[in-house]
Amino acid sequence: MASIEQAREAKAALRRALAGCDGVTGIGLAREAAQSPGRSGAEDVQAESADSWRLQVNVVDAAAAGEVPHEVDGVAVAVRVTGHVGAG
Amino acid sequence: MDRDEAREIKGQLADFARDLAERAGTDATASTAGATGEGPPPGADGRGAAAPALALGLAPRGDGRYGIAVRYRLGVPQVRSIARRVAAEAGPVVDVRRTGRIRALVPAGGPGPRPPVATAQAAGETGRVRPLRPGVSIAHVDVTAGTLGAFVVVGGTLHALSNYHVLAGSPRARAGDAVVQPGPADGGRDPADRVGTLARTVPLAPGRTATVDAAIALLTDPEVDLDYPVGRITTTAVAVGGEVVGKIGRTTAVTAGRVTAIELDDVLVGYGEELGVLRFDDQIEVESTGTGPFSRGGDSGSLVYRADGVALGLLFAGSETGGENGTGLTYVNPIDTVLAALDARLAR
Repeated sequence: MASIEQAREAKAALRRALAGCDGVTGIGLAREAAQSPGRSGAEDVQAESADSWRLQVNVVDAAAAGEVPHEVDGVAVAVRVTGHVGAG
Repeated sequence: MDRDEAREIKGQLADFARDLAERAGTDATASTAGATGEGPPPGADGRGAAAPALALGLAPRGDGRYGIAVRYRLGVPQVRSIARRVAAEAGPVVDVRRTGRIRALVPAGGPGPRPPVATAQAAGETGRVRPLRPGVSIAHVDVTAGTLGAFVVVGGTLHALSNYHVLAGSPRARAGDAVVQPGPADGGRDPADRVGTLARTVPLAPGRTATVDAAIALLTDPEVDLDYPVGRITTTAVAVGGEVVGKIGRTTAVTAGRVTAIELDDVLVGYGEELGVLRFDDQIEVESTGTGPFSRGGDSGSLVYRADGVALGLLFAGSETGGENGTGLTYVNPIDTVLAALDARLAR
């Protein structure tokens, strides 16, 4: 279980660790609970402190996932293959 | 070293290199390598996201052990000096090599934008609509087509909100340029379909990290339909992750999704040859909860809102793949950042 504050600190460390890695297209925060059916309103804010957070790293392809650690400072890291991102 | 140890040392060396770069007065912000950038030209191809002149990585040794890879670009004396000092700091575990300019194996200009889906295949509103309403096709007269996301008030006057790449499209665009509905790709022409003029943008520029892709058009006719499929949207909120969201756009019409990530940094977005690949920080990610994508090309500029009618963001980009159903992920600028940058509020 990681709080959002722990996840933010870990994200900063992960950005430093992944600096220069080709194929990384985004590094952010994701709720562990976000994979369950979504919620619709302001109750999310109230539930936030009780939730667990993980880091999310988006990569262009599976090959780019090689340097992404599974965990940073006790915070789990999930990798998502997105391909390239385009405006539009 | 094992891999974890190598990663830690790489991070320390990246900080060291950044310090050296700052002291040397080089543009550390242009780095994607945890080291230093050379300054302009910033892109891997001279146009895109920052391309470092010095990069750090892990160098496999073949026995399950790792060293530190240091790569620096030929012909940049200041960076060569920094590379040598980084190598000296790292000691015998370092593997230093010079490179030429490295180009990505993608089309010139980097991965490009998502062009609008052909008019005949769009499920949203691609025809001429008066009064204007959210979700219809719109664009600068020299752009293809995007989506009118919202009506906003700036200085007491009603404007249409969409993306920079929809209402301006180029650093050459100027305030006063014609904006047409539908967008030119859907048959809109100036002056017959002109609905307003480009009024204000948040400029995008190669090599500069952005947070929003946004612009507004001053409307000729203030008589508009303010309502969305969920009713009128007049309030905003910060995305906190997990929300059910919707949007109405020119290409995929009304779709539903869920916020899957927030505070997403280093999002690299292709804009084509003129702007290249731009980096965005503090973005929101949405995946579809239906069978199709949450958005496709031409949905840019759509307002993304919660099911209870509160605006969360401005849709501006999408990925090729990903998401639970594999149809790609959608990227969204935080709406409060968008409105603050334009000194605007949602119309009531």
